Amino acid sequence: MRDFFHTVKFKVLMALVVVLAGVMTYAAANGRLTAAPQELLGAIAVPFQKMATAITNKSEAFVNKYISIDKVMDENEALKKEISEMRAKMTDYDAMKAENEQLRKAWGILEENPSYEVVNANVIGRDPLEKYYSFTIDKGTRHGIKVKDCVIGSNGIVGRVIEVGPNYAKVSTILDPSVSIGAIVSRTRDNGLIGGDAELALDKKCTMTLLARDTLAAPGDRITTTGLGGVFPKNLIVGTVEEILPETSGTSMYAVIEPIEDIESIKMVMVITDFDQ
Amino acid sequence: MDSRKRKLTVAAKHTCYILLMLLGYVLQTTPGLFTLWGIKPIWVVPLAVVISAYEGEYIGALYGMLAGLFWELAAGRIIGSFSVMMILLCFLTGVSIALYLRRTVLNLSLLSGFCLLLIGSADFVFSYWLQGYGAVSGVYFRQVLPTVIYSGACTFINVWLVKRIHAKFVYEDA
Repeated sequence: MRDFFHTVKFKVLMALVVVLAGVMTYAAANGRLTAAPQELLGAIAVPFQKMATAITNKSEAFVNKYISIDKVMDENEALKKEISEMRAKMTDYDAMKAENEQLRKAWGILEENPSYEVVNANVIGRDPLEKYYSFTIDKGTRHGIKVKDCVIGSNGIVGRVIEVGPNYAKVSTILDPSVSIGAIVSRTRDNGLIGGDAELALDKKCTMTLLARDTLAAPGDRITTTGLGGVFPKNLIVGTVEEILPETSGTSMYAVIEPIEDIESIKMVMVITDFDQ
Repeated sequence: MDSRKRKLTVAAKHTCYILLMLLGYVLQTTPGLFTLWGIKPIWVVPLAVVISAYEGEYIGALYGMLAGLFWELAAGRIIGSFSVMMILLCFLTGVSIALYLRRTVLNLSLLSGFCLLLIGSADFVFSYWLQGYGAVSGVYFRQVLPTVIYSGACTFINVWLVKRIHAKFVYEDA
């Protein structure tokens, strides 16, 4: 065993350790996660990941038909109840619709922006130790995706691109504490910042901080983006308020937000590669 | 002729190991696969540990580096952060098996779990605790530890596969 430390093999191992340490330092200093070797690994592995994800999704759909029948029946009963409640509310609908139209004109809320350039992508990779439910998608620089591009689902915002290769990209979700999005409570027009919290992220929730102490925001209120900062377009739905709590400083409030998208299970996303600011 | 046959046998064996590593990476990252209560197993690390147990400390260290590179790519960590630790741990695993431990499923499962615990704990310290985020202990007890236990428990599959490959591609001099 002692002789091993004098062999060429040991020197090769030490050289590899030194090279990796150097590459790690370089990547960290430049704010990057990956370097050329990993981009090559990623390019090779992505086709296999896409195939495995497709097979898994099909199998899951097939099996869920049979194992989720109880859930489907419960959901059916709940939906019937909801329909009857909604019928009772229909009488107020016309009045609320008219009021909503007036409010839209008064505040100048824009309709959904047709100028977005989007790239559709599938979620092909989620690691067990991935931070804050981040994931990998199957599109990259070849499809026009860049770092910091906004990622949305069919209902609202999901996160942003933090690393991109030729045919893949890594997406950091809104549950990440390092993400900061200017947002507004739709009903009360209170401004705040959407960000993640390490503990709340385990329950797939995030926070909206810097709310005024006398905020009128309440559970159920919808949160949308303000577009400030230029990374995230305006009027994208973030989620709904779950509860309002005081900050530890006592000078402001923060809201626990339930994201509109199912961050843990989302399978298809859209990357906004360009939009009018 | 014997030398050529020997080289081909070795090349075939390592091709199988590399494909197995790629398969492990794909299984580890495919959304929803093998997920229990939101926890997924890590496949590449136990695989590298088992390979080092069967092939020795030097080869094991190299496969440890490969496993680390794959894991960094999957988990979005800085390149080198897992690879350097994996080189060291797989090297020590190979030495331990050669000198002290028997190559049993239980020992390899425990070694895999130990390696994952070390790396997972180091990653938790650098990625969460030192970042200054409040109340991060939940991440360790609800994500890191269950992942370590689940991955260690699945090591027997890697042992079975590597054992078969190792036995299949043994070259014996005439």
